[in-house]
Amino acid sequence: MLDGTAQALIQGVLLGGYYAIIAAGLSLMVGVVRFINLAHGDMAVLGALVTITLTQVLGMPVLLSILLMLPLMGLLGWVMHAVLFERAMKGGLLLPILVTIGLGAALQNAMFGIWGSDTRSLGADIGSLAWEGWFLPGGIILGKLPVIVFCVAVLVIGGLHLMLRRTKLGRAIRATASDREAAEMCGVDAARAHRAAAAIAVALAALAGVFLAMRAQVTPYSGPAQLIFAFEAVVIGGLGSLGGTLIGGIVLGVSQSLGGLISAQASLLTGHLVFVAVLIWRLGRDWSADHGGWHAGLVAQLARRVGRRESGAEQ
Amino acid sequence: MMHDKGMTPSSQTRADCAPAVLEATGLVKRYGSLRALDGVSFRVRRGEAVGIIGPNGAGKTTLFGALAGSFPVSTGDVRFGDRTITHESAEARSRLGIARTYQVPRPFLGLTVFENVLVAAQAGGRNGRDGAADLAASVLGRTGLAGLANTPTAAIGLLDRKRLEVARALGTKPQVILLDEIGGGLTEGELHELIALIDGLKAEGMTIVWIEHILHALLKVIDRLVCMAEGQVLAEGDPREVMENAKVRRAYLGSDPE
Repeated sequence: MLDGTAQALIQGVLLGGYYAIIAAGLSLMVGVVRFINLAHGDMAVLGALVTITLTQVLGMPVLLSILLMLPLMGLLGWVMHAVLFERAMKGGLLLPILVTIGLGAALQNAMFGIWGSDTRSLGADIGSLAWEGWFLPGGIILGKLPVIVFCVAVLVIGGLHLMLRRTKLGRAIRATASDREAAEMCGVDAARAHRAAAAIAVALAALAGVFLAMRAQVTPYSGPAQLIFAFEAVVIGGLGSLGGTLIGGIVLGVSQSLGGLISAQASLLTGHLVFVAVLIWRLGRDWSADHGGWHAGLVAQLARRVGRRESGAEQ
Repeated sequence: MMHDKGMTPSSQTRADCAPAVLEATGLVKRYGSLRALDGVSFRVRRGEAVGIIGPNGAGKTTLFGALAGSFPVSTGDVRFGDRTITHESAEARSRLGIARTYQVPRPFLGLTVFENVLVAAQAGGRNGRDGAADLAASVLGRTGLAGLANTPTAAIGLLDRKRLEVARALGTKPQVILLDEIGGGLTEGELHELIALIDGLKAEGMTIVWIEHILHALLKVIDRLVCMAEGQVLAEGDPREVMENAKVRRAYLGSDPE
């Protein structure tokens, strides 16, 4: 039992790496561009299907397919932002949501048109990587693929963090996020900074999609579920915090993995429940921060209760 | 219009001979039925320091926005040197050499003080990697912010934020700097430092346009004064003569000349 728990815990942490990669792009867009791309999951699937085609139809090595696909998807992100997202952002809060939901539907149906509805996988193309692992003491098995995915996740999050902190582009992206008009006044090309962020976000989604196709299957309609996982990881980790996104991914992965110990069906449900619990906790914390700290909130609650009993009006 | 009436031989300085570096003609900016700018023509010559005064709502800050490209104007033209920049973006104008500060500081929160200036120094790629960092450091030293270089901007006070506005503008290596009420709220000593800084910029040949309510600070630096009211230029010319102008006294100082 204890071994099972430890195994599930480790698998959950490693699974969290996958969630962190798909969430990183979303986190970047939400945190610094203030744009929510609801087609993020569909972009991941597109990246996976393109890689599968390059590998299985054109016969390229998987790694080469990925290296070819990533810049293509980055370019797609750049163009999407230039022609679509930028305009949508000018239209208030609702328009980006409508536009990207529409984009997601269009992408799903376009992929269905091109690739059909078959489930596809890269599992057969990566050889022993798909099933090999290291055996740890206590009967714990460490899958090679999940370990690689997790390491990539750490590199991706660390790289993004360094890019934002240390590079000219990163500082321009952060300045634009803080005050777009003032940034432009300083000569920053805000539109370019946003397009670059969108390119990175879409490329990262596509990378996550490839890992999904390696460990499982994808269909043209797999995107929305992945979007939800990405969102959950972002929210659990805290909006706009990249390091938080990695932790959010791990929390989600561990929750699902431990939930899977109860029953196979409880796995996803546990992840969602943990997400909802964190969301409620965050909302409550923010509410009390706005009302003078959690203890002040507690005092206010008590006062309200006492007040009700004494039918006083104090708060 | 009293544009040229205010100009007398006594106000002729060496700058008068130089061509206008920044020139606006017939600027109109409408917000609905309100005319924030109502036919403003304004020019500043290379190396000149011009002050702008006027009651609240006179359109001073709107004029800055129009010059710096923060928004499109309804009609009118803006020229910089010998090119028309009416339809250029704020970013393009910044790269051409026009910098502006905000009356209410707008620092990039989440960046350090140094990074705020570095963003400006790096944008446009006119400075190499080291050049930009050196420029940012020297600008911080000049504006008295060197000690705060690595402090997050969110943690600095109003005065330092005002300094940072100037530092960030200088980071873009401007030819023309538009200063919007940077003297407000300073102590006498700090005001002195500020005047010394602006005087220093002027001595280096920078063109300065300064909106300020603190007249004695303004008068120490400027060559020429423009008074605006209700979206129009009321008077311009020699600072003392503008201050004596009857219309100016009525509109700005709220008193009729005796």
